[in-house]
Amino acid sequence: MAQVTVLYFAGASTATGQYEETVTLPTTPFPLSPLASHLNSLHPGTGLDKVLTTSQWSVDAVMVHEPETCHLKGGEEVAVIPPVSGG
Amino acid sequence: MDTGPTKDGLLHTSDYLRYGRQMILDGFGLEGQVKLQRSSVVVVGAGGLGCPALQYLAAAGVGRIGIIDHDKVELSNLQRQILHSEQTIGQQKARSAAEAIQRTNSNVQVNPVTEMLNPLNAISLLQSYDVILDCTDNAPTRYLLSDTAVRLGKPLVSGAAQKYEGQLYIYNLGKDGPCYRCIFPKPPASQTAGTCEETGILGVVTGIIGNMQALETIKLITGLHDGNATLLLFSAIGSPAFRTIKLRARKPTCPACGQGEMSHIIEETDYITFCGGARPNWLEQGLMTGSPGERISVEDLRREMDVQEGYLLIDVRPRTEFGICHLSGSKSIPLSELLAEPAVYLPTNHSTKIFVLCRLGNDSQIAAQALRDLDPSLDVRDVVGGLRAWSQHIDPQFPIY
Repeated sequence: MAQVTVLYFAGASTATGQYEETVTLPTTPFPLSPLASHLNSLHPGTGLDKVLTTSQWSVDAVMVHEPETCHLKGGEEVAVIPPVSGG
Repeated sequence: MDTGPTKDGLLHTSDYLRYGRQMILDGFGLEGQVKLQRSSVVVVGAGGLGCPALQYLAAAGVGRIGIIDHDKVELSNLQRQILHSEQTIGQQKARSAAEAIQRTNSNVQVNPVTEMLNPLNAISLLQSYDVILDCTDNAPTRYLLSDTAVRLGKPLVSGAAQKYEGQLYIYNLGKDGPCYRCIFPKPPASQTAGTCEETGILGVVTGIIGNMQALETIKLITGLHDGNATLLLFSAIGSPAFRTIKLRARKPTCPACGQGEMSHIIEETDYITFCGGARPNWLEQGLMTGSPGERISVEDLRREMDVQEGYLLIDVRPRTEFGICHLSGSKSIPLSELLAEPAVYLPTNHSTKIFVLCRLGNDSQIAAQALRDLDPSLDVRDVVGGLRAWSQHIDPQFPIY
């Protein structure tokens, strides 16, 4: 099964309690848009769903503007980047 | 000794000695120093990010520096806001920081501003500067700064930090660099539930991001920046510690910088409402009395603890905070664990009085309600004002953090 590495930053790492996770894609190619609900199903009740609604994705170190047009084949490094406002 | 300007009038003679170590760098040179000398930078927020940024911008010889901050220095700032000191507690941060950088470099022209940045004054306060630094600590000001930088056509060097992590962006860079709204069109969800928890921050993490803001600013001014818009992610305990993410170009549909940009977006946005409303005052909310029989004062809790043997005192703060300080005889059950399975924590004897405690008296209300919902006949009360009130009214030796 194809897998991706998911990196969790800021609120996403607080919610999941981890910085990095290997996630098996339910199908390949897997569109990026439903990855949020897939990750939520792996971390139920953690508040990750709330964090993901305002977070952005990067795939292989490039920020994704339109997740609808992005498909994962496996092997990618996907980062969840929440907005951070503290300073 | 300064013997005045040199014949070409570009720098003072003492400047060659002061800035020589950077001027001898290939790619920097006399030209780089003159560019810094003639440049102007405004730093919004003289806190954890702003202090280190200001320190290096002043030391490097930026000609004119604006500092905007309406806050005053507090003891709890000194762990990370390194330009302030025990001597300047209670002073305006903008002035405390201005004095500190003038001590380092009296040649820099410093303009401290103690007004709060708002949609009415943002353009006039920022327009005379070449580069804007976002060193703020809240989402509404971040959106306002981004929209203003777009309107003024200036680069916005934006830093952010929480816990062990930091982020660094340059927004509105060059012709097609994205703005904050391009990347984060939706503001972070505001906290609607009661919370006593504050987000922690390791001081040196803001130091690293603030220093990098100064670095990127110096690169922009001297022409050392490659012009590519990137996001730098820093994690103090991650590996690798630094990651660079390439940003896409400006979004054509962005309401601030896109093709159909709203020309009055600053005037027409209520930034606080856009970001989910004003931050609640958790200290005040924790002190509200609530319905009769649901809350208990620290004085009455003290009496119950003195006479009552069969009580259960639950502290719902996170375990790390419980480890910092707690009342003797209290039991640590973090809020998240209690809410997940409240029934597990009920005492075997139904008549046992249950008291719930937290830092300020907000989380304890949520926990007490969850226990009451299980069985309305239980005697559950939570402590008004939490441990903060305990320290103020019962035991001044009990730490406030």
